Amino acid sequence: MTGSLQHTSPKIRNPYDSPWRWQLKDLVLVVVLGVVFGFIYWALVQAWNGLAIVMGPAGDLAQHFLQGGWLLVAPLAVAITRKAGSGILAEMLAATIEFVFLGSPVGPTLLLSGFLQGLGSELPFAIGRYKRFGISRYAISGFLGAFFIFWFTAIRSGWFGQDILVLRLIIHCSSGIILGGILAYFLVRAIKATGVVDNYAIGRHR
Amino acid sequence: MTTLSIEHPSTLVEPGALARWNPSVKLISLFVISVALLFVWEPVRPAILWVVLVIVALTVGNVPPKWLVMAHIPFLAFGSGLFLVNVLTRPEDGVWIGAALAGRTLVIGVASILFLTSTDPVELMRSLNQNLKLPASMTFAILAGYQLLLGLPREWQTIRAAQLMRAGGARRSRSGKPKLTFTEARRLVFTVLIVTLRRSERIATSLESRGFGLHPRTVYRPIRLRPCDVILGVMVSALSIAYCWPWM
Repeated sequence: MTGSLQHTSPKIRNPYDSPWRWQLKDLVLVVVLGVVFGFIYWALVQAWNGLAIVMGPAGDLAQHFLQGGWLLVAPLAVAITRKAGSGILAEMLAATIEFVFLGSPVGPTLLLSGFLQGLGSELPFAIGRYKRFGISRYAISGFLGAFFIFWFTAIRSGWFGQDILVLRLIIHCSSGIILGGILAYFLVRAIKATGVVDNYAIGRHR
Repeated sequence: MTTLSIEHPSTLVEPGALARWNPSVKLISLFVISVALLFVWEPVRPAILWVVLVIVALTVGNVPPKWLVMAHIPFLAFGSGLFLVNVLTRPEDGVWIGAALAGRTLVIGVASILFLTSTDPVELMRSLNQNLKLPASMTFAILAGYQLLLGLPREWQTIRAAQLMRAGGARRSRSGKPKLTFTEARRLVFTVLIVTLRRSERIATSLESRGFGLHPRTVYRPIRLRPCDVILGVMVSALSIAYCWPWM
């Protein structure tokens, strides 16, 4: 912050508040979030694999309950850095870490999934020009992320023609709203309260 | 407490001929194979491809047989789940489509093993930067983040120990082992996340103070893109598309 000019005249804004001005700090934060969540997602897949073995065929439905968990990093990255593309980048990085470093059985198509999840999750925030962060926006973000990825996974795993397609969609999107939206809202609030992100865009807007 | 550790598959396997293939081209070829396989809806072609890939893995890839079998466990679990669900939910063609999906999972799984065992992550990131022109700030931040990830298990244990000290000892399960309750786990994960965020700001500051992000950058030991890398990549991609093309 350079001097009293910014405090006296409200017309001069910090140029880094623009969603298009990425700082190295923002990039590293998004990357680190992607890395950490890549690891968490990978752990989630292991948990789900274990669950699938125990539950047998019903294990395939278990993934829909957990689905929202895979959407968590995008709203976090967007809310903290408030930069265009941060959500997509974070999800794709998490997918990269999962595949390249930890060896996920899903393979490189995970990158496409990451892109779709990030796109869906980031869209509501982009429409609000990265300035509005109400709880309902998080909920819509979780819903859209889950909705986008649902159709891709449906094509990939051949869910069309199965009797339970609608049931899948409903569980999928509810999980997205709860785990990938509302949980993200409270997580962002808790992170902000600790003060570690005060030097990012989220800390500058009070 | 036992120490958790994360090991990359490429450190466990003797580098074979595939390790000399340019990492970026290898990644793109693998991506093409995986996407092409999405259009195959019968189990015969994935099965043949799986046999070919296993032979390649055992000969050219230098993957030890025991290790290859172990690595198949998650793919088999994943594939059998897909198979069973389709058998149960599709009355007429469930077995056929279920087998196709399970076969696809196995093929992508073995191809991924081949990629992972022959590619050092550091080489891949450098190649992505030099050959595919991804921004250096991103690839190096990924490597810094990966180093951070390798330290996370230790971080986890430190914080857990502190948590136990403050709480005056762990709750014990019936067998007398320390039990991680849900509330404790929640606090633990959150603390690890906060520590990581704090460290990310520190990484950014130190990268910036070392002149990172300035142009132009010079490169130590450049990764070359040789003609044979590209020819092999184009051949593998074209073959896999032709193989998966719905001819009938």
